Amino acid sequence: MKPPTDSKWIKGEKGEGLSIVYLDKEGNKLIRRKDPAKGSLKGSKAWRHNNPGNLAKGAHSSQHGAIGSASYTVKNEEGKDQEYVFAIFPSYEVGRTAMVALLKEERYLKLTLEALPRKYTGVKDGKPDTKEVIAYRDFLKTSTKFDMTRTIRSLSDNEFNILIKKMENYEGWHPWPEGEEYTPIQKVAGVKMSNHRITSYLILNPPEQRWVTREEAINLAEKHLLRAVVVHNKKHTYLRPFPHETPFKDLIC
Amino acid sequence: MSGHGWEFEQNVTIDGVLRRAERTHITKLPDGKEETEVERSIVLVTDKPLVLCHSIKMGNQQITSIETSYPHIEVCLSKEFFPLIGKHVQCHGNFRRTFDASRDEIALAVDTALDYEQPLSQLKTVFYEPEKVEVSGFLYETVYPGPSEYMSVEMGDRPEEATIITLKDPINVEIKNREEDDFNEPEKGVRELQVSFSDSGPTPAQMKQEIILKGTLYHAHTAHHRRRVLMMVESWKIN
Repeated sequence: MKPPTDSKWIKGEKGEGLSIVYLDKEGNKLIRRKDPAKGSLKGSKAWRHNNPGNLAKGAHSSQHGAIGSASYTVKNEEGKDQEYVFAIFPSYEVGRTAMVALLKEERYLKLTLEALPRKYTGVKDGKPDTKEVIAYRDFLKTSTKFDMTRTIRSLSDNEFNILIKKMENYEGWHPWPEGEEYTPIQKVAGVKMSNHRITSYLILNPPEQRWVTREEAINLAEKHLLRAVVVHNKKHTYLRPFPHETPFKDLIC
Repeated sequence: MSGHGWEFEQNVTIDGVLRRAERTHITKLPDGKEETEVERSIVLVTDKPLVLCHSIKMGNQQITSIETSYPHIEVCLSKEFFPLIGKHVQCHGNFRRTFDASRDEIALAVDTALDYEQPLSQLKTVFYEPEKVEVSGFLYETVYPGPSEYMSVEMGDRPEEATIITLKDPINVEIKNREEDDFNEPEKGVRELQVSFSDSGPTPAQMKQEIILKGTLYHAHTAHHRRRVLMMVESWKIN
């Protein structure tokens, strides 16, 4: 099931394994996963985080719409742990805008295309170069066909967009729509009462609705699949609506 | 400890001693044999026990609460802070949920670890770009996994070689004019910088000697950046 096109994710966080979980204000949930097929690039880190520039968590990403971050601990070649914290953006467009804003900073505008990978990756320039800065520079040179002595400032809007697109390619933007799982939050649309006690709930899961027992509804809410608060008191467990939402007694059918 | 949550950007400060730890998992197989796996990690033995509280509130009314006490907490620590293992430190960072059922429920991702023996006020303060700064220390090179997963070179990620300087003395890095610079972030007790040379860097033999670097500093902002602060080196000399 795909999320509605007008979904507005307000929070992003690390899920199980390599997945990223997005939540909207209602509690609807989108999970993005990596393609588990061996050697597949689909569902890449950049795509899962809506972060085409692979920007880190920090002042820049926070100021440009990041809704969360995900940290990863990996071992470097010496077997030492190193933590990476990726920013999570609510959409590709917001993530791309953050990347564009970074390259529109004076600290980048003044750089030549030759020098850009040096600042972006933090690896050394000149001769002998490291493999990755040579690779990044060669990729930009052959894919954009720009004069690498030009500054970023000198690029036209069209040329700048080409540069961003090529950088996205290099950074590994590999979508995998099949790796998306959308779980709409179910809502209580009605209740049946007996002796002042709710005995069953009408659950709305568009386009369907169905009646479930009180126990089933509690079970769904505990799994965060039903928008309701589970209250455990000394005598029994029951459901309540979230604050400021319609009281269940007003939904009696 | 109270009031800390999972919310994005919520930072915590915890004092304690960094220690290496081992956890042994023993699995009994159906044939009676045992499989032993030793997991090594770094923990912060906290000065005061950490109490993790799961609670449900309706308005101001607390409905239920379960508390778990931790005498130590696993930390995700940058190599920059490894020299502080065994020392009394103040750690700044965020709590992270761990999804591995064999581990504790939470870990502390450390942004900064400060050595109690080296008060911040005694450290040299330098400034971000465009100020030119001079630092000294020892260089080393290391390889990290790059795009597309930043997880494992063996699994196909591009290897990225980073050059790091371990500073002779930790520094504080500040912003000269905060009104004009909302990009860089102040950092305390910086022990290592990722460096990039504008032309030929030192030879392997020279890298074994103490080096003085001159250049400009900027804060990490992409996943390629492996330390909190980076330096664009403009000149260098062997001390």
